[in-house]
Amino acid sequence: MTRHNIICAVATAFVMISCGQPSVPDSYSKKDAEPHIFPDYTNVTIPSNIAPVNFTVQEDASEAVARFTYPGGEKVYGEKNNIMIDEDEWKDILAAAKGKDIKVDVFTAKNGKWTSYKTFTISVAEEDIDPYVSYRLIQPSYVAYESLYIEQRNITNYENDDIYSNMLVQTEQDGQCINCHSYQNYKTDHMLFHMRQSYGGTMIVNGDKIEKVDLKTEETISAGVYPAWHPTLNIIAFSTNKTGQSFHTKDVAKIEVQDTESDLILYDVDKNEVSYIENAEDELEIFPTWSADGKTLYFCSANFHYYGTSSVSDTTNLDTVRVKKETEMIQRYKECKYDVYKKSFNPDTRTFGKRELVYSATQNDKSATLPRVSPDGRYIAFAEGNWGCFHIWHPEADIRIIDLKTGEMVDTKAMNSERAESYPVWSSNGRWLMCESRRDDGNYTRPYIAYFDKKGKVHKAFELPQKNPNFYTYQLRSFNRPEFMKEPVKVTPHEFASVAKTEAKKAIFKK
Amino acid sequence: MRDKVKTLTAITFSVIAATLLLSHSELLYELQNSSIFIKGNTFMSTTVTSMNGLWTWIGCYLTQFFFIPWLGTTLLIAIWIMTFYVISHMFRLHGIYSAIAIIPVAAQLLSIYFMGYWIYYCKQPGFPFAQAVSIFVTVTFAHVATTSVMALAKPKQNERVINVSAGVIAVILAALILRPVFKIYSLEVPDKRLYHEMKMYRAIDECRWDNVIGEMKDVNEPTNLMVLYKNIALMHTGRMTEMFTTNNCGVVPQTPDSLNIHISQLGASMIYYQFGQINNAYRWAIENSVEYGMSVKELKMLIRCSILNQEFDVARKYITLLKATTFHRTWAEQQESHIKHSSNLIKSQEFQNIAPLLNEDVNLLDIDNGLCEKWLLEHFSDLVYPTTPKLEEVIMTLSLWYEDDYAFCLHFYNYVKRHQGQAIPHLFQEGAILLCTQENSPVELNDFPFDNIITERYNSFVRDYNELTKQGVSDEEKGKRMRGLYGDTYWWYYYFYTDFNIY
Repeated sequence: MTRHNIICAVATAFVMISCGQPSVPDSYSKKDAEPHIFPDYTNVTIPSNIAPVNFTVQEDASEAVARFTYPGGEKVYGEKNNIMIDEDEWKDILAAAKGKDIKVDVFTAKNGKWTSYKTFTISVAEEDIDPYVSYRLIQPSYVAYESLYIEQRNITNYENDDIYSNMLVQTEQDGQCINCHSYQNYKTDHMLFHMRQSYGGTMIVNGDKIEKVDLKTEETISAGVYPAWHPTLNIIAFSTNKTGQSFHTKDVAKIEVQDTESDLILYDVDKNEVSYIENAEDELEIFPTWSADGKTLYFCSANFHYYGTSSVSDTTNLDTVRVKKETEMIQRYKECKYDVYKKSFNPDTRTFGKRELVYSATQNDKSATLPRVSPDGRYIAFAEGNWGCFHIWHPEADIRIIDLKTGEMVDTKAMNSERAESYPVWSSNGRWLMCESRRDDGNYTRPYIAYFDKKGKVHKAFELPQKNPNFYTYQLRSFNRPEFMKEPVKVTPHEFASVAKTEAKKAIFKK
Repeated sequence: MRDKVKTLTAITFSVIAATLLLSHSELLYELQNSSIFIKGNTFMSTTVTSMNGLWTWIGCYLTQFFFIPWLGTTLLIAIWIMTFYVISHMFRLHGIYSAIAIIPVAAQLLSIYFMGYWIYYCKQPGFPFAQAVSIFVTVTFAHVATTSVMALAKPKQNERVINVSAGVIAVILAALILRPVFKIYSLEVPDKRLYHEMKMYRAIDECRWDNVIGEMKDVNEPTNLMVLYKNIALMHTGRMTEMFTTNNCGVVPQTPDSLNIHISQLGASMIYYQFGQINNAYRWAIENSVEYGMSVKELKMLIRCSILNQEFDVARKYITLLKATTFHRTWAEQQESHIKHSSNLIKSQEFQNIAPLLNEDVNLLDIDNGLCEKWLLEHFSDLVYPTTPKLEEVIMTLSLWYEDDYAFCLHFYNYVKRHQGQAIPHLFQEGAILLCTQENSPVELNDFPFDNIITERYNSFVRDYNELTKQGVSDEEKGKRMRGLYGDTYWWYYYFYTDFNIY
């Protein structure tokens, strides 16, 4: 053997030793409990096209390994306390386990002694999930904001990039807030998001055209706020709102966001026209959403009559009246509760029918918000809390689902927690439900996904997987408005930025 | 000889820089406190991908060494001296010309020294080192590039041309660095009281109450913030009723015209926290970390608030982050022990100080509009049912501080009823003799047995006041003349402290 060969052999052996596959220990003591892992992927059901569910083992140990046993094979992973799964191998595991289970055995070591835990299961559903998710990344602040991002994530792997960042146009003096991204029928060739303050307007992608529109008219309360793009037509339902926020001095909930006024409007993208859908006296209408066939508009509405009880006495001008309303709303915020309604819609004549009650949350002394109808039209999901329209700050808020066929409430315990859940959305095939939840720590919202099987059963929700299992611990931004998409947004952030710098087109009010 | 000048310049600059920086170690501490470096990929990737991210990340890493002032200073000066040598070498500056190369680094020194209150409004964490390293790397890169180009060009260039161009470039570099100094800081010598405020904040952070009060001694006109800090120290040492004998007349500090300062950014979180207003403290820690970047200071506050609010999961998250810093790990571990063993929390001095103020069980929907001091004074003056003696003392003294006659009189009436047969503090009697004996007082106190000494002193105060009024002395002059005799009384504060501007 030449000297060269010896060096190569030694080097290869060194590399093999240092990069050796982790293995399950030969001897260990058994613990009759499932391991504490983060994120919690114990006994969840996942889609067969999701990224590897890397996790960290939160036991008092210096080392951990996990054995994944699936139909036709097994793999062992472990790097210190983290279980990092090879992406290519994971695809093979999912392919083999589709419609079946993966058994996971976790072993931990402390002072050279190994412990094994009760096996847990990861079930792999037959149905895939939409490959993209988009969300706004925002610090859970109160008034201040600085850098905001609307990001898109390919959830079949770990790739993510910006759809838009406000830092592209924001200056030291002129801040720009961005929010409420929305798509037509899970596709991105028709989409929108709002920009406020500097370079304000609603950014609308209409096929190849990108426009910035000012939806505020003399007749309406505000520009468009919460949007819903019709599934087939070039029309968008929005709420218009006068929103305020105030802060709890003691309560853990910390923030209360209230609307003092709100209505629903319809925006015709091609004609650039705004018209009213709902603007009833004493009603606060909000959160429009279309059924998948586009023939029904669902929304929430709170009946709230101002008694003029606030101490603000001057009622001679509109601004003072608004201050008066704000003050009264702050004083009576717990009385403001929303129910779910619907209106029929004729796509040919573009006319709406009368409002009909779908679900009375107020009957149970609750408030329902953010409704979303399943793609098959059978179920409606929404967030429910004790009052108000901003449930993500209400720890008691949970996701509820009603079977519209039977009128019965679906058991959603498996996707809720002791902390706030809000903003439920359905995947395009109706088999996956995603919501934002503060369950990790009570302060930062994270995207959680739950399997909704053909029988209408909700399975345990799991946190959107990240490559670094400690990602959510170190991430100091909330994931806001997670939405499913069938495809990525093709417009680049710089293309949006260059349109953002142009003058917004004024929408016209149509009586 | 030629290199001796260069060496002498470097040594002289180093000595001046070290003296200026180390004489304000509180500034260096604040710089590292207003920045953070968290070990790990997440912090690195989120920092590096932002604008000027790489320099910020390196700057944050090095700025943490200001925790040990001499170490941070040595590192910073070392980078500056290297920059000086690279510039002088790049332009072949020798002898007296080499002094030109010190201009850009001197400009950096000045930009730190003249920072003043901008330290709270700077949006680049790790600013001193980020600036120093980016300039050093840029200059070095330029030097390597020009050397390579010149090696290909004529072997000998006219040295004078190089020297002149060196001078021009040095001036441009200095102007670029000093641009923010001129534009923002206006090259004004910072208000010296800023350094007292910084020392007081650190002393409060470490529960060194005597040091907090001690900082007031050499300052005739303290800022509102200093007064707030001083009163926190009095509150936690059971001496709240000494508020007006320890100078309660705050003023707005001097700042450049371009800067509007607010206590919300300077110390509101800590003030709210010490007064037991945990949600407000948490709010300002979040708001400031969003707008000016996460910092050790805000992260520590988020941990404290989360623990006192019993939000242990998020407290653990923040503790994990702070444990990944170099110099604040021990503090984070102490807080971790407060979560693991509640007895440790209960025994801690900080908890014992604040717990009596947490008993106020009213939850309000409110907003402070960025005016922390006003909110606190109004809030405590309006509280009706004090549940602990400490809270009662705070309510009484703050209603006097806020000159809320109505609230104080009602509180005093209840206080007297609750403390039958006990001595009433002089301050409360001073307030009552002035406010509760007036016609518009909501309570009747005609028969209240004020201490003779207070009655006599009050009569003397009224006599002197009337005498000076008869003489036609202006109110301002009256205040000056009467301060010697009555400056430690509430009456003097009530009549003559008219400059109460809240910021």
